[in-house]
Amino acid sequence: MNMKRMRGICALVAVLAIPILGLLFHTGTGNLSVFGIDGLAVICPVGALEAMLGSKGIVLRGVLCIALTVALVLVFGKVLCAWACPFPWLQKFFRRKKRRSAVSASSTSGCSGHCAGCGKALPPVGGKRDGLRLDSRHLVLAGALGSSAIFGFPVFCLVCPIGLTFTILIGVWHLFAFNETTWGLVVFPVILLLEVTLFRKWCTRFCPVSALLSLVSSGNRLFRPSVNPQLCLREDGTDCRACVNACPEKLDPHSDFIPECSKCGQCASACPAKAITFPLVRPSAGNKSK
Amino acid sequence: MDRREFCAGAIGASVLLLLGGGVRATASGAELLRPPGGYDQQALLGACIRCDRCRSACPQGCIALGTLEQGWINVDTPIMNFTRGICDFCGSDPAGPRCVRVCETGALGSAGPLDYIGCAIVDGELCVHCQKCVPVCAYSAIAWDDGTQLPLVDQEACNGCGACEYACPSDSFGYYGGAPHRAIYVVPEGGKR
Repeated sequence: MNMKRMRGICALVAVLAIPILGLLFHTGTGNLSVFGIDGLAVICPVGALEAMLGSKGIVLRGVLCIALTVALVLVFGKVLCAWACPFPWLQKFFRRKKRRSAVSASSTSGCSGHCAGCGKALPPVGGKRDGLRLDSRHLVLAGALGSSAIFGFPVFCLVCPIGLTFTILIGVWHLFAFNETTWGLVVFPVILLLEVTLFRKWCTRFCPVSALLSLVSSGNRLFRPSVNPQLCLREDGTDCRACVNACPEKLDPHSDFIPECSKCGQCASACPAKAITFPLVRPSAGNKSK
Repeated sequence: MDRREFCAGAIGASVLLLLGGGVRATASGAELLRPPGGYDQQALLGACIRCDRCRSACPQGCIALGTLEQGWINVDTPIMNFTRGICDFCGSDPAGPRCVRVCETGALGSAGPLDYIGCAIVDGELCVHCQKCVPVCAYSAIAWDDGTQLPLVDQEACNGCGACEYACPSDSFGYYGGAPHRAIYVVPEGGKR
């Protein structure tokens, strides 16, 4: 089973199956905002910080949940973005791809550009978003936290596309279960649709959840993409850029430090030489860059 | 961060500041009936991240979520609905109310007492004089007034569990928007405890 299908199944379970089981059986397991069994739970770190600033108080349980969440991000990196968040799937559904086709055509055709039999290894291309970044997302994050502190309630939660997805899901459920009609069933899908369609670069430009997760995942050392130098075409002088072009986060898996990596595996499936894997610990011999 | 990035971020941040201010300014400030431990509206709103766990965890199904009609600030926050069930404060469970146990941000639990929701009041116009509310009260807070032919609520004994509202047959088809409430119904009693 390829990674894309696995990601799809994971997202489907996280976004639909678990909340619907909760609606059916009163499990109290929650959804992506807070997910867990009784007191043991992972929490949306942005929501948790907003709640602390909004209520001007720190709850020990909240801190424990944040600690658990941070630990998970340290182990698995920014996987939420590719494996659970509904936003990229919604975007894929509502925005048919237009621009990718031109790029992907050139990506593997670049592999034929041999350098006249010299066989010398080429330096890594490098991704546009390699390394630790502080960008517009972090400004949005600061705005979300500041607004919550000033106005005394978690503000971003009102328009968070992840939260809105669940608001709509629960709203539709209540419509059928309790005959509960509300304008929210019209207004919130419109807001979500606007976010999905107007903000093409939501994930890399605006999302404060991604901003916070990428800061934490700079400490992530496990399950990083690893390029086998024996297989990589660049090692024998082919100017292949398939992995860099395939990466939705605009990273180069050859680079040592890519906290933005969401382990989506698109580089691995795009690699014509099947040189990219996600091992538990990345072998240090594979580090050719920098 | 180049200028374009900075502008995008600054616009995003200002939108969130405007949104927070706008939603706060247009909030009605009406007191809503909150689950145990969520009595203080401001404390609850400050910490609630609208995760839906309390509603999902409630074994009685009496927690509903706020809708847009109750103000954007209350969307998806927990609001008691005693036409769906009653609150027994999870009395058989030594660990306390499940809604409080699953709330990780302290929105329920640190925003009020764990054994008080509100207080029942009577709307004589809607009462059908069936006396069904009297025996269901586990706190013996309701007596029948033979003179007025209406239930009489002992405000000291009532903690707003909603058993009387749930049992009240008046406006049982209230989902279809008949009367605004049942003849006996629970209201948050302006900081009585």
